[in-house]
Amino acid sequence: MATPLTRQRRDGTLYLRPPDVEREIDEVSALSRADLLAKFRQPSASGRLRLETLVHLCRRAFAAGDDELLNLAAKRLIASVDRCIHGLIPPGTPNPTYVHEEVAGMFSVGLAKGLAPGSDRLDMYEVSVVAVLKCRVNDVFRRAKNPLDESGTFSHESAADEPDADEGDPLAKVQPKFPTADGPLDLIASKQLASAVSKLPDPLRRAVYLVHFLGLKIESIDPLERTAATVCGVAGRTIRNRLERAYQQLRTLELA
Amino acid sequence: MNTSIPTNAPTLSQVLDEFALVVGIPQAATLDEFVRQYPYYADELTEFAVYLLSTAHVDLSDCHVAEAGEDPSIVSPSASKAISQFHNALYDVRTGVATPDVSARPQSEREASSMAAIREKAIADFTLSNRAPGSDALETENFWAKLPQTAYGNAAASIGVSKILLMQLRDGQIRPETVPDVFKQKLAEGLGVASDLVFLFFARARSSPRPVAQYLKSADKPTDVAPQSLQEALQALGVKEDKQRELLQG
Repeated sequence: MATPLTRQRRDGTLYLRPPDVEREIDEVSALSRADLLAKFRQPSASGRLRLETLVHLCRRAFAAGDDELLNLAAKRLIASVDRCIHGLIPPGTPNPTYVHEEVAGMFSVGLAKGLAPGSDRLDMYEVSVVAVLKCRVNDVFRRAKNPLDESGTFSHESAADEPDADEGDPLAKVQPKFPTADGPLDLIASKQLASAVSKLPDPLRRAVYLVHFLGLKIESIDPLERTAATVCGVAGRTIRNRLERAYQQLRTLELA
Repeated sequence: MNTSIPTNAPTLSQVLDEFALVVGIPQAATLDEFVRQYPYYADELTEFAVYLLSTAHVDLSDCHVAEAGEDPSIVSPSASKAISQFHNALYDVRTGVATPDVSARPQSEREASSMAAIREKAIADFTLSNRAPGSDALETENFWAKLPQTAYGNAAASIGVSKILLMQLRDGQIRPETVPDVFKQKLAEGLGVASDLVFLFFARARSSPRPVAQYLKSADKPTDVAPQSLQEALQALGVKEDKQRELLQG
């Protein structure tokens, strides 16, 4: 039986493993140590282990002083995570190799630090390794945008922006051509649309996400209101131009 | 346009972690809810939501499992590097050395200053209590760089060797494993630096040899000079045999 997690959410509830993770941990716990080690060592061994289960095994092995199991589980986990990371780096990201290595390193160091007695850091890892990886990718993006960043090897927001020509009010003529809905769009509902939008250049993609999926206004007369323009740090007309170009590109994909 | 952060506010990492777990694929309503709850992290939450949307279409079904039948001996170079980082961090956990947390890099200046303080404290703690030969947790303090100009002459006179030998030691031209503890102790006393710094310098030099020095002012092309043993260096400098024994055996 897997030990309950102890980390609390902000609302005071405890982190909970997904039921299939919980079930798999129970199954693995029933194995003898020799069977468990064999599962890692023998290439012919059948079955798969969830990444969250591997995190649990790392914790258990560390607590028991079982370095052999810890090394095997950690190696399998990190190697599997490494293969996942490329899918989490958005297309068009500059220097993806740098991002990949940073995320893999951050995950691995976080895993080791979470093994320290009394730490509940790995509770999140046992809930969703993919969510942890997404957070780490985002960390790399934030560092790159932060002036305190030392590396300067990565820039998420394209500095080479498009011309800022204001051609009247393009929004009026293009917006109706975008798939319309009452309120923000639901990305889950249209995988095809999601895939098409993901192929847009970064500034256009961001504009579409902010306005059509996250429901932000393009701009506002209230300087304190958070809008797509304030989030991107550009004028409202630039967002309109980006949206127009996004619609044009999406139309070529016969989606708009 | 973040508002000021309350003193009892959760850290940005905590909020983003929870956002990632709760929302999966973000929608406007969920983002609004988080922004209302944490208005001071509005920009960061929005950026994160944009990132999560950009990966929403990716099929991550293979990312949830590790094949048990995979050959454990085959890992990519990046995975190999990450595994090495894991073991380094694990060593720090076991020895109680607090390393800077790379997964919680600063976002605001306030966080940056606290991170810097944590980093400085970690280094100070290490220097005061955890300095050990062979440790690769932190860079060894380069005591050679801080020596006054007269130190080489004084140390050479005190130990009874040439200043050239000290420079050879400094530049990694002498194999560290051939330098006995008794000589390290004499060197520390002669230079007037803490002996553990000298021991640590040689321990690190042993685990990560320095590149061979090149003398760019030479009239000839630079050539690789293989490091020599301390005894060979003493012989080459014409130190008498009884003095060599004294330096090497105490």
